[in-house]
Amino acid sequence: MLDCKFWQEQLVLSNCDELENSERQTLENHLQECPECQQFQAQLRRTQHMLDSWDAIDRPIDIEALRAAIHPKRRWRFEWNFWRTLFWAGATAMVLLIGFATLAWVGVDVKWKDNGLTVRFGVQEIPEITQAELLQLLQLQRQATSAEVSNALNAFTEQFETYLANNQQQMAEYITLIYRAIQSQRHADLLQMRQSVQNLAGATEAELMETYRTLELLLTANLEGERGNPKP
Amino acid sequence: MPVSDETLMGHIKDGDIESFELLVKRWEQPLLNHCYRLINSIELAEDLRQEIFLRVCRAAGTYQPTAKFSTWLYRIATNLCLDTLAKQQHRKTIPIDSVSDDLDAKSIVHPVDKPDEIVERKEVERQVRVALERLPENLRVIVIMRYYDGLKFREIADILSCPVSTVKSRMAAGMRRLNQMLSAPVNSDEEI
Repeated sequence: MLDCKFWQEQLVLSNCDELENSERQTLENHLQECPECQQFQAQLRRTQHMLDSWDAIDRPIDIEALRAAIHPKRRWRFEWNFWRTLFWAGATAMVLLIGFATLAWVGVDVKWKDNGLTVRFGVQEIPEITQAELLQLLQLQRQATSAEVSNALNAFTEQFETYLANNQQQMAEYITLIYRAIQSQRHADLLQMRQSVQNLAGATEAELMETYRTLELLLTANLEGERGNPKP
Repeated sequence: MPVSDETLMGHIKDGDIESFELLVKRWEQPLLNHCYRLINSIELAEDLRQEIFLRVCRAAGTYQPTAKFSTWLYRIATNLCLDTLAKQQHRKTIPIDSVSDDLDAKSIVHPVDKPDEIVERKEVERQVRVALERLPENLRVIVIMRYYDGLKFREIADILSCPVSTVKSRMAAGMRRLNQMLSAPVNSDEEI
């Protein structure tokens, strides 16, 4: 025989709609013959009625406060996106700028340093370059010039290669200027320089220096022309 | 057809704030009342609701829809409420003044018209709140979730991670105690 505690538990479950039909029927049968459980059932109804008196509250959430609580992360994310975009845009612009600048000025600079020749080809510096390496560079540079000036330039370069083979410091410095002139591709100037160089064969030291000065004037004017200054 | 909570959580995971606010709109009242009845304070319930939604937002990235969203949400809410209650162990009974203040302050969904009925209803509500407050925590949680939140025993068992049979027996025990306490008027300042 089950005690009333069991049936009262069944009553609670029945009110919660958690009993099978057969269980409910058995409970009904018990209730009809048990005054104690009938009293419990009556009180349970009163209790549930009383529980109903505790109404739900209806207060909307302060969505602005909630947004503000989440806000720091969102703002950080926004700022991160903004600065990241700016950073990459700046970096791209910088790379393009450096690239264009390099392309616009791929010059050759030959200098005497300590133990020998140092050649800067564009942004790359090659210290203590050998004769063979320099000649190869000259060859490359020659190939890079346009067809119009290539003939004059070839002859001119060959002359200089001869002088260069003798490690003449001043000549090496002039090569720098000449290569800048090559860049400007001033045909007439190159032809004039070639003529000057051809005249060097058998020249005295004074004549040699005069030729150098002539070359220097020409090339300086040439470089100023490159920079956009009108020639005098 | 409304978008499911689980789908909204997927969108929130991808950073969709509108889905989050839709979810908040959907659950703000049930959550508030769940916390309110467990904590017995409107102000604290509102703070907890805010905290729960913040936790949902933060946990969205790791949310896995292995169970119903409501089960997951109620688990967060219930655990937070129980933690808060544990921190307030010193508070054995509801101060009668705070109950009265809450009764005056809150907006009631189903107001009654006549002043004497309002007074009577408030008195009954006070008795209910005091009686529920006096229930042991493990019984009160289940009574509130079943009776006020309308959750099934299966869902309650999932939320509390306990067997359904435990939920059923605790529900019965809780209602039996409420029966005893509410069969006679309850004074809030009586010793438990």
